[in-house]
Amino acid sequence: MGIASRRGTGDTKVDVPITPMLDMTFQLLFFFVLNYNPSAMEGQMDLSLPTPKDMVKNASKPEKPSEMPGDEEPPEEPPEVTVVVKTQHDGRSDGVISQVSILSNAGETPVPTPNGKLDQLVDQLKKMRDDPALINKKDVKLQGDSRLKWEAIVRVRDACQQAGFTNASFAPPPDLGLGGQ
Amino acid sequence: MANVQGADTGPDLTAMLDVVMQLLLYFIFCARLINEQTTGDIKLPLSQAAKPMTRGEGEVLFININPDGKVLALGEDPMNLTQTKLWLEKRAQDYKKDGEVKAALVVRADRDTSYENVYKIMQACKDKGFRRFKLRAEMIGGGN
Repeated sequence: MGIASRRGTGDTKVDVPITPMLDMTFQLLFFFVLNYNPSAMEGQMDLSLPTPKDMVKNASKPEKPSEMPGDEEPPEEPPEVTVVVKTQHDGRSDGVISQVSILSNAGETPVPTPNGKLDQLVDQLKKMRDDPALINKKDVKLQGDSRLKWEAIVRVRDACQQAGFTNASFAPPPDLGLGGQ
Repeated sequence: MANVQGADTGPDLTAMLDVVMQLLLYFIFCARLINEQTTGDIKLPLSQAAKPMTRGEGEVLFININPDGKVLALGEDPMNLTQTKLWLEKRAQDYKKDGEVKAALVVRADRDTSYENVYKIMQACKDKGFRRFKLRAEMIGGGN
């Protein structure tokens, strides 16, 4: 190594061996270039699940007696909106949205989804929010078939969000356990 | 005596370069571990409602769910539901403080995973005491 020193004068020249350092640096750079894997921007959404209390309350609800004409109006159902999403089971298009309907106090309302688009669902949900009879205007339940793809549920959730239902929770699939894991 | 012109006494850089290289190697290995938590094998669904992540959310635990419904976690083989429940129980103990599980669960489910699989796994997480959930999705249009 070319290290020279001179006593007394204070003039010292230090040669740093740059070549191996550059080799090492290029090795590292090459490593990072090969392993560079740009991924899409990820975002996240908060989530809520039905609490055990809700599930127990719904399970223990007594069956309604048959209504006679002229009777007092039965107590209202919990002010909730449920979006039910069904999928096909033909073995070819399993997982895509085949039917969407909205369950509410007014009953079940089917919503057309031409070409899988959910614009009409958004419009329908917005109308429901504008209805003064709807008390809870933020919460919505999503219920999908077991074989429905996760992507479809997220799209429906987005539609609910657009309509103003900002708090979406997930209900168990009606055919839970039949799909298997 | 040879003539030395204009030689400056500079600090010895060799030791400093050694430390710099050590640090670089450390970050190289650490970066690999972080990437495994958010494995690129999972294709997230697209969502307009997804918001950019913010720092300072406290402790988080990542769960990746592949299209077959298997759970992928750092340092573990793909797990079925039963194995996932056992794993979650251990993790919940690790993150338990004052009787509550403090960590948030970040769920990265593949877009082709069935709703049933995702629901069962999230239900298992809830049963083990996890209360805070974050769903990951690819942002459309830069997010909200």
